[in-house]
Amino acid sequence: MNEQKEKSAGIAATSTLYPACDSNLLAEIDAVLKRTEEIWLAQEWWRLPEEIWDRDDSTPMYVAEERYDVMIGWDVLDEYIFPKKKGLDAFRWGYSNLWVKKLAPGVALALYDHWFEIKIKTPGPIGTPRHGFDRVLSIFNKKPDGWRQSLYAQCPLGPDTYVRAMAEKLVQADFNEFYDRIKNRDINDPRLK
Amino acid sequence: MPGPRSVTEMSNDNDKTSIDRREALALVLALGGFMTASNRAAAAAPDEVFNAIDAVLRQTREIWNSQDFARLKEVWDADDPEPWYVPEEIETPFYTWPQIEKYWNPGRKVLKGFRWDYSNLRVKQLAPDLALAIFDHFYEIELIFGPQGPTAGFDRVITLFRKKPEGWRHILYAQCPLGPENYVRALRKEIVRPDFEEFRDNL
Repeated sequence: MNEQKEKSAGIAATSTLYPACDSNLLAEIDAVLKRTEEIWLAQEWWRLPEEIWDRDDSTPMYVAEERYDVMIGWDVLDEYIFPKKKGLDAFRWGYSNLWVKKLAPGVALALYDHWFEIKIKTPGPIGTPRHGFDRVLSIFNKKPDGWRQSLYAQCPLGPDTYVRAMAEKLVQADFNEFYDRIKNRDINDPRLK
Repeated sequence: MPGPRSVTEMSNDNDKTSIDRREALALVLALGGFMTASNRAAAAAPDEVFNAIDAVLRQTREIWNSQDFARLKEVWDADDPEPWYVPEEIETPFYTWPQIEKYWNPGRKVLKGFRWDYSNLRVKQLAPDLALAIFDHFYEIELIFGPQGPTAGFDRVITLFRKKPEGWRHILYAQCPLGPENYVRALRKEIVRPDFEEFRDNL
Protein backbone atom coordinates (compact mmCIF):
# COMPACT_ATOMS: atom_id res chain seq x y z
CA MET A 1 0.00 0.00 0.00
CA ASN A 2 1.16 3.53 -0.76
CA GLU A 3 0.71 4.63 2.83
CA GLN A 4 3.00 1.89 4.03
CA LYS A 5 5.65 2.84 1.50
CA GLU A 6 5.40 6.46 2.61
CA LYS A 7 5.78 5.50 6.25
CA SER A 8 8.71 3.20 5.63
CA ALA A 9 10.37 5.95 3.59
CA GLY A 10 10.00 8.28 6.59
CA ILE A 11 7.84 10.81 4.77
CA ALA A 12 6.05 13.09 7.21
CA ALA A 13 2.35 12.49 7.52
CA THR A 14 1.41 16.00 6.47
CA SER A 15 -1.48 16.73 4.19
CA THR A 16 -1.12 16.31 0.46
CA LEU A 17 -4.81 16.70 -0.32
CA TYR A 18 -6.13 19.31 2.05
CA PRO A 19 -5.62 23.07 2.39
CA ALA A 20 -2.88 24.50 4.55
CA CYS A 21 -3.66 24.57 8.25
CA ASP A 22 -2.08 25.87 11.47
CA SER A 23 1.44 24.45 11.24
CA ASN A 24 2.07 24.53 15.00
CA LEU A 25 -1.17 22.71 15.74
CA LEU A 26 -0.45 20.27 12.93
CA ALA A 27 2.95 19.44 14.41
CA GLU A 28 1.51 19.00 17.91
CA ILE A 29 -1.29 16.69 16.79
CA ASP A 30 1.09 14.83 14.47
CA ALA A 31 3.29 14.13 17.48
CA VAL A 32 0.35 12.54 19.32
CA LEU A 33 -0.48 10.38 16.29
CA LYS A 34 3.15 9.32 15.91
CA ARG A 35 3.08 8.22 19.54
CA THR A 36 -0.21 6.41 18.92
CA GLU A 37 1.40 4.60 16.01
CA GLU A 38 4.42 3.64 18.12
CA ILE A 39 2.18 2.22 20.83
CA TRP A 40 0.11 0.20 18.37
CA LEU A 41 3.19 -1.12 16.60
CA ALA A 42 4.66 -2.18 19.95
CA GLN A 43 1.37 -4.04 20.61
CA GLU A 44 1.19 -2.18 23.91
CA TRP A 45 -2.35 -0.90 23.49
CA TRP A 46 -2.93 -0.79 27.25
CA ARG A 47 -0.80 2.39 27.17
CA LEU A 48 -3.31 4.17 24.92
CA PRO A 49 -5.86 5.25 27.57
CA GLU A 50 -3.21 6.85 29.80
CA GLU A 51 -0.81 8.23 27.22
CA ILE A 52 -3.09 9.25 24.33
CA TRP A 53 -6.60 9.74 25.69
CA ASP A 54 -7.92 12.48 27.96
CA ARG A 55 -8.68 10.53 31.14
CA ASP A 56 -10.30 13.64 32.63
CA ASP A 57 -13.04 13.50 30.01
CA SER A 58 -15.83 11.40 31.50
CA THR A 59 -17.51 10.76 28.12
CA PRO A 60 -14.79 9.71 25.67
CA MET A 61 -16.25 8.38 22.41
CA TYR A 62 -15.04 5.63 20.08
CA VAL A 63 -16.75 4.80 16.78
CA ALA A 64 -15.23 1.52 15.55
CA GLU A 65 -15.68 0.24 12.01
CA GLU A 66 -16.44 -3.27 13.25
CA ARG A 67 -19.04 -2.36 15.90
CA TYR A 68 -22.37 -0.70 15.31
CA ASP A 69 -22.55 0.49 18.89
CA VAL A 70 -20.84 3.78 19.56
CA MET A 71 -18.72 3.31 22.67
CA ILE A 72 -19.07 6.10 25.22
CA GLY A 73 -17.42 6.16 28.64
CA TRP A 74 -14.35 4.56 30.19
CA ASP A 75 -16.05 1.35 31.25
CA VAL A 76 -16.62 0.31 27.62
CA LEU A 77 -13.52 1.95 26.13
CA ASP A 78 -11.10 0.39 28.61
CA GLU A 79 -12.55 -3.04 27.95
CA TYR A 80 -12.42 -2.52 24.17
CA ILE A 81 -8.86 -1.20 24.08
CA PHE A 82 -7.49 -3.67 26.62
CA PRO A 83 -9.81 -6.68 26.88
CA LYS A 84 -9.27 -9.25 29.63
CA LYS A 85 -8.57 -11.92 27.03
CA LYS A 86 -6.12 -11.02 24.29
CA GLY A 87 -7.94 -11.31 20.98
CA LEU A 88 -5.21 -10.20 18.61
CA ASP A 89 -2.07 -11.93 17.41
CA ALA A 90 -0.90 -8.73 15.74
CA PHE A 91 -2.18 -5.29 14.84
CA ARG A 92 -0.45 -2.70 12.66
CA TRP A 93 -1.70 0.90 12.57
CA GLY A 94 -0.66 3.76 10.30
CA TYR A 95 -1.85 7.17 9.19
CA SER A 96 -1.16 9.83 6.58
CA ASN A 97 -2.59 13.00 5.10
CA LEU A 98 -3.27 14.73 8.40
CA TRP A 99 -5.33 17.89 8.55
CA VAL A 100 -6.24 19.82 11.71
CA LYS A 101 -8.62 22.58 12.72
CA LYS A 102 -8.82 24.52 15.97
CA LEU A 103 -12.45 24.38 17.08
CA ALA A 104 -12.34 26.32 20.36
CA PRO A 105 -9.74 27.24 22.99
CA GLY A 106 -8.19 23.91 23.93
CA VAL A 107 -10.24 21.84 21.46
CA ALA A 108 -8.97 20.63 18.07
CA LEU A 109 -10.29 18.44 15.26
CA ALA A 110 -8.08 16.12 13.23
CA LEU A 111 -8.90 14.23 10.05
CA TYR A 112 -6.50 11.73 8.53
CA ASP A 113 -6.27 8.68 6.34
CA HIS A 114 -5.81 5.52 8.35
CA TRP A 115 -4.79 1.98 7.46
CA PHE A 116 -4.44 -1.12 9.53
CA GLU A 117 -3.49 -4.77 9.31
CA ILE A 118 -4.88 -7.20 11.79
CA LYS A 119 -4.47 -10.85 12.69
CA ILE A 120 -7.18 -12.04 15.02
CA LYS A 121 -6.25 -14.77 17.46
CA THR A 122 -8.42 -17.57 16.17
CA PRO A 123 -8.03 -20.56 13.87
CA GLY A 124 -9.61 -20.67 10.42
CA PRO A 125 -10.33 -17.90 7.94
CA ILE A 126 -11.11 -15.31 10.61
CA GLY A 127 -7.50 -15.62 11.76
CA THR A 128 -6.07 -14.79 8.34
CA PRO A 129 -4.37 -11.37 8.31
CA ARG A 130 -6.50 -8.62 6.79
CA HIS A 131 -6.01 -5.04 5.75
CA GLY A 132 -8.37 -2.11 6.13
CA PHE A 133 -8.43 1.59 5.38
CA ASP A 134 -10.67 4.50 6.25
CA ARG A 135 -10.75 8.14 7.26
CA VAL A 136 -10.46 8.88 11.00
CA LEU A 137 -11.88 11.87 12.82
CA SER A 138 -10.33 12.65 16.18
CA ILE A 139 -11.04 15.38 18.67
CA PHE A 140 -8.29 16.43 21.04
CA ASN A 141 -8.38 18.41 24.29
CA LYS A 142 -5.40 20.53 25.29
CA LYS A 143 -4.11 19.43 28.68
CA PRO A 144 -1.10 20.62 30.71
CA ASP A 145 0.87 17.66 29.34
CA GLY A 146 -0.23 18.11 25.71
CA TRP A 147 -3.14 17.23 23.44
CA ARG A 148 -5.24 14.28 24.52
CA GLN A 149 -7.87 12.44 22.51
CA SER A 150 -11.56 12.51 23.42
CA LEU A 151 -13.10 11.13 20.20
CA TYR A 152 -11.84 8.52 17.75
CA ALA A 153 -14.18 7.75 14.87
CA GLN A 154 -13.42 5.51 11.92
CA CYS A 155 -15.25 6.65 8.78
CA PRO A 156 -14.84 3.93 6.14
CA LEU A 157 -16.21 4.30 2.68
CA GLY A 158 -19.64 2.76 2.21
CA PRO A 159 -19.56 -0.89 1.17
CA ASP A 160 -19.97 -0.46 -2.60
CA THR A 161 -17.42 2.37 -2.80
CA TYR A 162 -15.06 0.43 -0.51
CA VAL A 163 -15.17 -2.59 -2.83
CA ARG A 164 -14.50 -0.36 -5.85
CA ALA A 165 -11.59 1.29 -4.03
CA MET A 166 -10.11 -2.12 -3.19
CA ALA A 167 -10.48 -3.20 -6.83
CA GLU A 168 -8.67 -0.01 -7.89
CA LYS A 169 -5.81 -0.86 -5.51
CA LEU A 170 -5.40 -4.27 -7.18
CA VAL A 171 -4.66 -2.77 -10.61
CA GLN A 172 -1.07 -3.64 -11.48
CA ALA A 173 1.48 -0.84 -11.62
CA ASP A 174 2.11 -1.19 -15.34
CA PHE A 175 -1.53 -0.99 -16.43
CA ASN A 176 -1.25 2.64 -17.55
CA GLU A 177 1.74 1.78 -19.71
CA PHE A 178 -0.24 -1.11 -21.21
CA TYR A 179 -3.20 1.20 -21.74
CA ASP A 180 -1.06 3.85 -23.45
CA ARG A 181 0.27 1.24 -25.86
CA ILE A 182 -3.27 0.16 -26.68
CA LYS A 183 -4.42 3.74 -27.21
CA ASN A 184 -1.51 4.60 -29.49
CA ARG A 185 -1.81 1.50 -31.62
CA ASP A 186 -2.41 2.15 -35.29
CA ILE A 187 -5.69 0.36 -35.80
CA ASN A 188 -6.60 -0.63 -39.32
CA ASP A 189 -9.19 -3.28 -38.53
CA PRO A 190 -12.61 -1.51 -38.83
CA ARG A 191 -14.09 -3.82 -36.17
CA LEU A 192 -11.75 -2.27 -33.55
CA LYS A 193 -12.48 1.36 -34.45
CA MET B 1 -20.82 19.47 32.34
CA PRO B 2 -24.22 18.01 33.21
CA GLY B 3 -24.63 14.33 33.92
CA PRO B 4 -25.47 11.58 31.44
CA ARG B 5 -28.92 11.58 29.88
CA SER B 6 -30.90 8.86 28.23
CA VAL B 7 -31.51 9.23 24.52
CA THR B 8 -34.93 7.69 24.72
CA GLU B 9 -35.88 10.20 27.39
CA MET B 10 -35.18 12.92 24.90
CA SER B 11 -37.40 11.66 22.10
CA ASN B 12 -39.71 14.31 20.81
CA ASP B 13 -43.22 13.07 21.49
CA ASN B 14 -44.72 15.83 19.39
CA ASP B 15 -43.27 14.44 16.18
CA LYS B 16 -45.29 11.26 15.83
CA THR B 17 -44.23 10.59 12.24
CA SER B 18 -40.57 10.74 13.11
CA ILE B 19 -41.06 8.63 16.22
CA ASP B 20 -42.59 5.90 14.12
CA ARG B 21 -39.70 6.14 11.75
CA ARG B 22 -37.13 6.08 14.51
CA GLU B 23 -38.83 3.15 16.20
CA ALA B 24 -38.85 1.29 12.90
CA LEU B 25 -35.14 1.93 12.41
CA ALA B 26 -34.37 0.97 15.99
CA LEU B 27 -36.30 -2.25 15.46
CA VAL B 28 -34.35 -3.02 12.29
CA LEU B 29 -31.07 -2.51 14.12
CA ALA B 30 -32.24 -4.43 17.16
CA LEU B 31 -33.24 -7.35 14.95
CA GLY B 32 -29.76 -7.23 13.51
CA GLY B 33 -28.37 -7.54 17.03
CA PHE B 34 -26.68 -4.16 16.99
CA MET B 35 -28.29 -2.20 19.77
CA THR B 36 -27.04 -3.04 23.22
CA ALA B 37 -26.99 -1.25 26.51
CA SER B 38 -23.73 0.47 25.61
CA ASN B 39 -25.34 1.96 22.52
CA ARG B 40 -27.76 3.77 24.77
CA ALA B 41 -25.01 5.27 26.86
CA ALA B 42 -25.48 9.00 26.79
CA ALA B 43 -23.12 11.85 26.20
CA ALA B 44 -23.22 15.10 28.09
CA ALA B 45 -25.11 18.25 27.18
CA PRO B 46 -27.71 20.45 28.87
CA ASP B 47 -31.32 19.78 27.88
CA GLU B 48 -31.58 23.04 25.95
CA VAL B 49 -28.52 22.19 23.85
CA PHE B 50 -29.77 18.66 23.15
CA ASN B 51 -33.21 19.96 22.17
CA ALA B 52 -31.76 22.68 19.96
CA ILE B 53 -29.53 20.19 18.11
CA ASP B 54 -32.46 17.79 17.75
CA ALA B 55 -34.49 20.64 16.23
CA VAL B 56 -31.74 21.37 13.70
CA LEU B 57 -31.65 17.71 12.72
CA ARG B 58 -35.43 17.67 12.29
CA GLN B 59 -35.05 20.69 10.03
CA THR B 60 -32.24 18.90 8.19
CA ARG B 61 -34.54 15.92 7.64
CA GLU B 62 -37.31 18.18 6.39
CA ILE B 63 -34.93 19.77 3.86
CA TRP B 64 -33.49 16.48 2.62
CA ASN B 65 -36.92 14.96 2.24
CA SER B 66 -38.24 18.04 0.39
CA GLN B 67 -35.56 17.27 -2.26
CA ASP B 68 -34.61 20.98 -2.20
CA PHE B 69 -31.02 20.14 -1.27
CA ALA B 70 -29.63 23.62 -1.93
CA ARG B 71 -31.49 24.71 1.21
CA LEU B 72 -29.20 22.55 3.34
CA LYS B 73 -26.90 25.54 3.74
CA GLU B 74 -29.63 26.95 6.01
CA VAL B 75 -28.57 24.45 8.70
CA TRP B 76 -24.84 25.08 8.23
CA ASP B 77 -22.59 27.86 9.52
CA ALA B 78 -22.11 29.77 6.28
CA ASP B 79 -19.48 31.95 8.00
CA ASP B 80 -17.14 29.00 8.52
CA PRO B 81 -14.48 29.23 5.80
CA GLU B 82 -13.66 25.52 6.11
CA PRO B 83 -16.80 23.42 6.39
CA TRP B 84 -15.97 19.71 6.38
CA TYR B 85 -18.12 16.98 4.87
CA VAL B 86 -17.11 13.31 4.85
CA PRO B 87 -19.55 11.36 2.65
CA GLU B 88 -19.52 7.57 2.62
CA GLU B 89 -19.28 7.43 -1.17
CA ILE B 90 -16.50 10.01 -1.73
CA GLU B 91 -12.87 9.12 -1.00
CA THR B 92 -11.53 12.63 -0.43
CA PRO B 93 -13.72 14.62 1.96
CA PHE B 94 -15.01 18.05 1.00
CA TYR B 95 -13.59 21.10 2.74
CA THR B 96 -14.84 24.12 0.77
CA TRP B 97 -18.25 25.64 0.14
CA PRO B 98 -18.04 25.23 -3.67
CA GLN B 99 -17.39 21.47 -3.22
CA ILE B 100 -20.25 21.02 -0.80
CA GLU B 101 -22.71 23.19 -2.72
CA LYS B 102 -21.95 21.32 -5.95
CA TYR B 103 -22.50 18.04 -4.10
CA TRP B 104 -25.89 19.22 -2.87
CA ASN B 105 -26.85 20.88 -6.12
CA PRO B 106 -24.85 19.55 -9.08
CA GLY B 107 -26.78 21.65 -11.59
CA ARG B 108 -28.85 18.82 -13.01
CA LYS B 109 -31.26 16.42 -11.43
CA VAL B 110 -29.43 13.19 -10.61
CA LEU B 111 -31.79 11.69 -8.03
CA LYS B 112 -35.28 10.32 -8.47
CA GLY B 113 -35.63 10.46 -4.73
CA PHE B 114 -33.66 10.66 -1.51
CA ARG B 115 -35.02 10.03 1.98
CA TRP B 116 -32.98 10.86 5.10
CA ASP B 117 -33.68 9.99 8.70
CA TYR B 118 -31.96 9.79 12.05
CA SER B 119 -32.43 8.31 15.51
CA ASN B 120 -30.59 7.60 18.74
CA LEU B 121 -29.16 11.10 19.06
CA ARG B 122 -26.42 11.75 21.58
CA VAL B 123 -25.00 15.23 22.15
CA LYS B 124 -21.84 16.37 23.92
CA GLN B 125 -21.03 20.00 24.51
CA LEU B 126 -17.35 20.65 23.83
CA ALA B 127 -17.29 24.41 24.49
CA PRO B 128 -19.92 27.09 25.14
CA ASP B 129 -20.44 27.55 21.39
CA LEU B 130 -19.43 24.06 20.19
CA ALA B 131 -21.29 20.74 20.34
CA LEU B 132 -20.77 17.28 18.96
CA ALA B 133 -23.66 15.03 17.95
CA ILE B 134 -23.64 11.33 17.09
CA PHE B 135 -26.71 9.65 15.69
CA ASP B 136 -27.85 6.62 13.73
CA HIS B 137 -28.57 7.55 10.15
CA PHE B 138 -30.73 5.82 7.58
CA TYR B 139 -31.28 6.76 3.96
CA GLU B 140 -32.94 5.56 0.79
CA ILE B 141 -31.85 6.71 -2.63
CA GLU B 142 -32.84 6.18 -6.24
CA LEU B 143 -30.65 7.53 -9.02
CA ILE B 144 -31.84 8.73 -12.42
CA PHE B 145 -28.70 7.38 -14.09
CA GLY B 146 -26.74 4.29 -13.16
CA PRO B 147 -28.05 1.19 -11.38
CA GLN B 148 -31.81 1.00 -11.48
CA GLY B 149 -34.03 0.75 -8.44
CA PRO B 150 -33.81 2.28 -4.97
CA THR B 151 -31.20 1.25 -2.42
CA ALA B 152 -30.92 1.97 1.27
CA GLY B 153 -28.00 2.51 3.62
CA PHE B 154 -27.30 2.99 7.30
CA ASP B 155 -24.40 4.34 9.29
CA ARG B 156 -23.44 6.45 12.26
CA VAL B 157 -23.07 10.19 11.63
CA ILE B 158 -20.84 12.57 13.57
CA THR B 159 -21.67 16.25 13.33
CA LEU B 160 -20.15 19.31 14.90
CA PHE B 161 -22.32 22.33 15.54
CA ARG B 162 -21.35 25.96 16.15
CA LYS B 163 -23.67 28.22 18.17
CA LYS B 164 -24.59 31.24 16.06
CA PRO B 165 -26.98 34.12 16.84
CA GLU B 166 -29.60 32.32 14.73
CA GLY B 167 -29.00 28.97 16.46
CA TRP B 168 -26.78 25.89 16.22
CA ARG B 169 -25.32 25.30 12.76
CA HIS B 170 -23.30 22.44 11.24
CA ILE B 171 -19.57 22.87 10.68
CA LEU B 172 -18.85 19.17 10.07
CA TYR B 173 -20.85 16.19 8.82
CA ALA B 174 -19.18 12.78 8.65
CA GLN B 175 -20.75 9.45 7.77
CA CYS B 176 -19.20 6.49 9.61
CA PRO B 177 -20.52 3.24 8.13
CA LEU B 178 -19.54 -0.15 9.40
CA GLY B 179 -16.52 -1.59 7.63
CA PRO B 180 -17.36 -3.71 4.59
CA GLU B 181 -17.26 -7.14 6.25
CA ASN B 182 -19.49 -6.10 9.10
CA TYR B 183 -21.81 -4.14 6.83
CA VAL B 184 -22.36 -7.24 4.70
CA ARG B 185 -22.81 -9.37 7.81
CA ALA B 186 -25.42 -6.91 9.07
CA LEU B 187 -27.29 -7.12 5.78
CA ARG B 188 -27.12 -10.94 5.82
CA LYS B 189 -28.60 -10.99 9.31
CA GLU B 190 -31.54 -9.08 7.91
CA ILE B 191 -32.43 -11.83 5.43
CA VAL B 192 -32.50 -14.70 7.91
CA ARG B 193 -36.05 -16.06 7.72
CA PRO B 194 -38.12 -15.41 10.85
CA ASP B 195 -38.68 -19.11 11.55
CA PHE B 196 -34.97 -20.03 11.59
CA GLU B 197 -34.74 -19.98 15.40
CA GLU B 198 -37.70 -22.35 15.61
CA PHE B 199 -36.09 -24.59 13.01
CA ARG B 200 -32.79 -24.58 14.95
CA ASP B 201 -34.46 -25.26 18.28
CA ASN B 202 -36.28 -28.27 16.87
CA LEU B 203 -33.12 -29.95 15.67
